[in-house]
Amino acid sequence: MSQLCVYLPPFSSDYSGVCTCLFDLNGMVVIHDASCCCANYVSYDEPRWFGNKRPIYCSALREIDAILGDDEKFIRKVVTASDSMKPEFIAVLGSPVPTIIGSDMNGIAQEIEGKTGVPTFGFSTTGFRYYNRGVAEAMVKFAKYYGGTSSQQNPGGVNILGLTVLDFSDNSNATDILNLFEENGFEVICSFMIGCSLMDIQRSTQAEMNIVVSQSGMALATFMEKEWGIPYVAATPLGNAGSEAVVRTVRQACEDRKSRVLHGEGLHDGEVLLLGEQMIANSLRNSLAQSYGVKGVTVGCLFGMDRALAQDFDIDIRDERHIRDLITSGKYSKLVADPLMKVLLKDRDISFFPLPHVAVSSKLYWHRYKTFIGDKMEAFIAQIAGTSM
Amino acid sequence: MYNDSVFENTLQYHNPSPARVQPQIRTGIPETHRLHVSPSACGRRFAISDLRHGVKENRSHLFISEDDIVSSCYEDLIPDAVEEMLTIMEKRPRAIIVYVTCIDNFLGTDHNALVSLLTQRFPDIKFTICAINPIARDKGAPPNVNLQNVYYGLLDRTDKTEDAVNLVGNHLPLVKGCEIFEILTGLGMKAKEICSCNTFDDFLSMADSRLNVVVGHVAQMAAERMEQKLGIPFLSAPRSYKIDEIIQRYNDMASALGRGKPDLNGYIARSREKLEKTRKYLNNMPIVVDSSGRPFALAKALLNYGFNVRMVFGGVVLINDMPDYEWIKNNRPDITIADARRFDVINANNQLGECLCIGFSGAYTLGAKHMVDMDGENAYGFYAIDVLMDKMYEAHDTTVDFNALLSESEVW
Repeated sequence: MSQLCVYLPPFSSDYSGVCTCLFDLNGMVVIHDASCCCANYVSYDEPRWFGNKRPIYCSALREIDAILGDDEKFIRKVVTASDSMKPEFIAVLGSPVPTIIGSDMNGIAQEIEGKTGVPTFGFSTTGFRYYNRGVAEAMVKFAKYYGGTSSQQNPGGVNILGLTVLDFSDNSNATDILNLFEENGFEVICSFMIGCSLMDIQRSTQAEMNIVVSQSGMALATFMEKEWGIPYVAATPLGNAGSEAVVRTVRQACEDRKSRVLHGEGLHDGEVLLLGEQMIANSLRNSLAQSYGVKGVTVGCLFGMDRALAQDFDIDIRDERHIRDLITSGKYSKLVADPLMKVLLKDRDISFFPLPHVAVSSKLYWHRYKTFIGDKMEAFIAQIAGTSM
Repeated sequence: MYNDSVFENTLQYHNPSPARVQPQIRTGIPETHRLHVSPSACGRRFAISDLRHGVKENRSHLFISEDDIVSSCYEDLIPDAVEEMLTIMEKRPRAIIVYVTCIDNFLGTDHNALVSLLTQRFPDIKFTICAINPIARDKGAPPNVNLQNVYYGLLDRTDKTEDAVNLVGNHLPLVKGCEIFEILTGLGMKAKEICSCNTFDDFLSMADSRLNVVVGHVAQMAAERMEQKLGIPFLSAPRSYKIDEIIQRYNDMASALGRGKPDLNGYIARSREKLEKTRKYLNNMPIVVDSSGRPFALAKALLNYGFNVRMVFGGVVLINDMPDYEWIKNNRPDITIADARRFDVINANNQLGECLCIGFSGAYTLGAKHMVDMDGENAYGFYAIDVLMDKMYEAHDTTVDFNALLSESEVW
């Protein structure tokens, strides 16, 4: 299926998802590409790049190397840089050209690990998929490798899964989420993947509970539940009441050791169309329903839909035309979406509520991001509901 | 075009300079639409950049999937996408440039057949294909050169001749203070620039001009092709900071147009005065030149004027700049030549102390106190010297505020 996009930009891709996850760790990350993929990530998908010098590199792949399948040149470059930079791990990432020529990123990683003795991870990222796929793969891969060394459980210990700047930007959102749980008596062991270290990932198996704050954390949550018996609560803390609800749910889950996905009750299709990241959009819907009685909210998932998180009437958005069709369907009177989507409304009589998302609008709004926890978000939710605070 | 072998082939670091905003930038040809056909990832920076410059309506994206590639039908999707795009667009474009990216090099797309197909279906629109494929840098024209080739390739030979000179190879219009406009007027010529065209017809009229002056090296190949296709001769005259070279360029222009040498004395005197004033004011302050422009040519010119150049941040060396690179390497071994893209540049320490960096990359890398911002700078000729000297003079008294630059980079 092809997709025509006239008004919207392409969304962040899987390699950016991996890179942003590994940004805070003391490793070396290499995108196997000519130049543009790395430029995409550092220029438009990483709000922390300006002012932080991190060893995230481009391999400067050239046509002749691709045609000849000369992986050795790539491997040599990585080994040379590793010898100099002494990273704790290396990650090598694919991009469109390695995908086309069938480069075996895992095989290349093994060879690099053999030559350097440094743990090396291969990611078959393609540039054809969205960032959340890369985030999910990176978190699972690192948890599998570094986690599980401790069987001791830490009562009250929680991990936050799916915390990335592509969803939460680099304002106070990540810290606010950590503080919310710390202030309510929990100890955050590992916040996958903002502000965490390899040591935190090692200790993450001690957690009593996982809190999944974005859809990309679900893969790790289900893996950790199956592998280490850690249940999860899937919800993003938003506003005041919504954040309190998440904390309450985490407490209940700690008691009965059962995983939970926060769903509102009595929800139905129509009235409000909420386009965005599925978990954040779900949580916003829960707040609208529970605090303001707005039950007609449809979530349109921009980056793929996880059925386990969805209502029957939720929509897996295919392309820009799909969004235009929804807008013109006459079904919705309110649209909550990234500010760049406002242009799709044309002169339709639909109220627009801007909720920026880094993976959509990049640096155009990443430093004008909403604060997810607290009064400002509560006021925003009330505004959508049509209630003044 | 480039000599890539000067610097060691290593993993490459990207500093934040490509993401900085150039508010006044204007790319493309009026009434022309760009359809970017690629994996979704490849188009992101173009789209965000267009949004920042308020020109997103000039570009659409057709994302292709792995399935489209496996089924070998990706180019078959383009005509239908064009049809759909035209129904959405408020104004029908005069030309559509289909951009393809690195993967296209491996798919064997028949570009001529594609253009024929599109032209048959949409006969009122001109179509062309442009490869934005940095992967092919080692064998042919890099993307920015391709772009110029494609833009000027849209021109057709005409029977008209206009007393006009095309200034080609610049992404921004040359600033109006440049003496080149005055000189060309004195020679009875009108200056034309692609980024100053207001309509597609304005652009097409560039085919009537008498001479192409290549003010940016990226259009050298395009000028050669225009000479063959349109019969317009060209003069290679990229921006220089060497007074003798600038004089030679203006004399060559006059000669190519069959006119006498222009009087340049006033411009020369003004530039010399500014050079002397700035050199004295900087009082031997160490200077770093980065790859914002033609670093080796600029470094050599500054050395000859008596400035204390201590370091050059390169990355790629233009073939035309090789003599200047060789000269610095052989005659001034005390000057450090560094690769701004090399992986370990993130560990670079500023061992020069208080210094003045010409260009953002060098300043950012070294955490320099003083910076001359070359982004968005588009002066030419003697005026380029004057502007640079004014900026260096001013930078001496200013401490660069990187946080402010970060904020500015997000303004749109």
